[in-house]
Amino acid sequence: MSSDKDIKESHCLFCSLLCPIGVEFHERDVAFPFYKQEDGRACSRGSLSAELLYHRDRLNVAYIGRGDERNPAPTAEAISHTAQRLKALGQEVAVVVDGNLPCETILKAVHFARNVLKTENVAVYLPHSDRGILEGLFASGADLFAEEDLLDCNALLALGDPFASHPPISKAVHDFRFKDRANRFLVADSYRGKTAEFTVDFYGLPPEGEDAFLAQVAQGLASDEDKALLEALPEVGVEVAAEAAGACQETLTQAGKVALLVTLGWAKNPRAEKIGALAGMIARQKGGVLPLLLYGNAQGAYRLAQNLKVRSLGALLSEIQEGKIKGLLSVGIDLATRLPEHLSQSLEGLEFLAQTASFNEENLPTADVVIPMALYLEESGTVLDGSGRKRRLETLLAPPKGALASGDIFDGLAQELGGGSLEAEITEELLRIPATKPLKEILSETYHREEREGTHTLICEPSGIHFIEGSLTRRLRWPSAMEPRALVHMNSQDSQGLSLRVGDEVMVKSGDMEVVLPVEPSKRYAQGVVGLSAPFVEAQRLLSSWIDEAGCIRVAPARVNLTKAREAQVAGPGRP
Amino acid sequence: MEKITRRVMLNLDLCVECRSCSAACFYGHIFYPGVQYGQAPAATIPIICKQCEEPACVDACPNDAMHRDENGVVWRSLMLCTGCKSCINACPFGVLSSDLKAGQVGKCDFCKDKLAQGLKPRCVSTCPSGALEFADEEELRKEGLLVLSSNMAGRHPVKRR
Repeated sequence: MSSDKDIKESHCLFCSLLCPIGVEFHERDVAFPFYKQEDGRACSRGSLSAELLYHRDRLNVAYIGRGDERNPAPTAEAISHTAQRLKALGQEVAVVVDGNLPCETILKAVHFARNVLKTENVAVYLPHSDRGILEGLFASGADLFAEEDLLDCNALLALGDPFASHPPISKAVHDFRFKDRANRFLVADSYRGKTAEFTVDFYGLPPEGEDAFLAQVAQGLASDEDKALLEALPEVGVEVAAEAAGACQETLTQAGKVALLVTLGWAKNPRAEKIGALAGMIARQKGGVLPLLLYGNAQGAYRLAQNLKVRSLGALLSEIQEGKIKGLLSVGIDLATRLPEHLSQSLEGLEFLAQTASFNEENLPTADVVIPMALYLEESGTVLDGSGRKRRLETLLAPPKGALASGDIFDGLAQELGGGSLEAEITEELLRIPATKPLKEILSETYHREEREGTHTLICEPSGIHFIEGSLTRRLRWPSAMEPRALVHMNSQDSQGLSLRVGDEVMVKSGDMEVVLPVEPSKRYAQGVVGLSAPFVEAQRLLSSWIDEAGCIRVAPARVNLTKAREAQVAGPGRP
Repeated sequence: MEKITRRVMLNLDLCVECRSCSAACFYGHIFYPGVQYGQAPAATIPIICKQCEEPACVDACPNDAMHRDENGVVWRSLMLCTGCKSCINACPFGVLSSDLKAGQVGKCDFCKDKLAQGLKPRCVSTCPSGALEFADEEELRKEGLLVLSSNMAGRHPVKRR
């Protein structure tokens, strides 16, 4: 190896832990990216970034035209075409930017919409769990902890399955567990996940029971003022083992300092802001909260969106449906894939849709213009981790020729429209903790969704690998080598009742949707609860999803019916 | 390179089954996964080559593709491997992959390139929970651990509370 070895470091944007990540160069050539946290640690999801950088389907050419009329074009031409079409539509246009882009890009998007396009139609997309948890936490005024703060605590209450959704947090949790034998690690979740294996204090909750559980725990710890708020809490009707909540409350009461790890698995509870608020109310009395969010820059995006008072994606979609908005520029997010089907159809009514994409996927956006965009290791900018600390993203590699960094896309469009370069200075004022709804309003909020009949409740296990969008992630080589399969996990007694054994296929039916998948009996799930092994596209079809007023897509467990479809054809483990 | 006396040790108290070790190995070995998994009733345990002192895979290979070098690392030669799977069948631990890529068998080499730089194998250095350690007998004795198993079985202490 040459002595000219050079290591460049940035941060992984795959979750709010923002692990340091590096790339090793030899004599100015990239040898191969490696992943660095302390001694080179990073989770399997972070490791995928390497393959993403060199993926054979990286998009380095723009496309203009829809359907059969789609043709490749130079990126500069696509930018120019987009600028002219947006200008022609006047103020009947909107801009949507993904919240997992650097703060500078989000700021540029807002300035581009307001100062160049002269419209207030700009929205920042965030997953409902990230947005909700942050809203609840900021409303409660709880302290936000970083990983190193866990060592100062005597008790740790983890909500959900953080070892599965955020594996790098495990090192800090193990250090906490082994620092003092008296330290208590408590886990509450609707199934016995990976994190639950590391504790004897596991509280099994019914699906969507997290807020009810926290409310009962908070009752015993809260001040008189908080108790009055908790009494007004609706939807506590979800049956939660009072014994578990009592035991948890007792442990937390005895502990000196408590930290809460809050993470929401996919499709386990759509009431994220209540969970954030209740966790914050407990933490306010006893310690602090470490929020584990899906988006690396969730907190930066949330603060900017609130402080800049941008509009909600939900409001923009309503105006698109009504025909008030005729042109849309979407950067960093493929709305057609991400939105629930009934909402994504409304995009077809747009006169002009421009989107960015990083991969030439099977489901490449159906848009009038597709602009190739850089990946996060090819971007620079400011991001905020879960505890609110500022981190700096550095450009480790130049994007492929033809692809642009997200901020450069807005700069290019602004220049085409004579707007000059856009302001991108992130100030403390822009990143201050925003004002939120009062706690009472958050706690008393009610939710309406389509209720379906069924014998079982379907939840989805969080996974480090996202298979929701299908074509790209299923063609990545490491996940393919691991051969992940969509399986229906269910309680062993439930499977016996349906005469199902390992490998048998079961039909899962919810409303009009049905899928047939192999079954795997598991002790991890309580009776009446079934789980899908990862957020596969099959799960997306079955679960309840809708968009809320804030423009977040909410996904909730669904009631499903199960029937045996076919017996396994080959002998497998557990089968004669 | 001096003789390698260290082995990859798994601490079951810390492993969170995130498969980061497998991903790091996969990308570090030009897409030949060297870390396998054992499915225990309550856990998925990563299984990594123990670099046996008397390796059964070397004896079983009909093409001399497997050999143990002077440093104690068991190697597979890509040029000589025909993908006959004899080594897979011979390995008492199931650490060799049966998922053949290009007709060849993936094999752990303790990340020779990393060791030459004085670093740890990729699976160890990437483990986010600190469950994998790269330690030698002396270091293990200091921790009060015993090295179990025979020469053929190699040295692969697994510690559990």
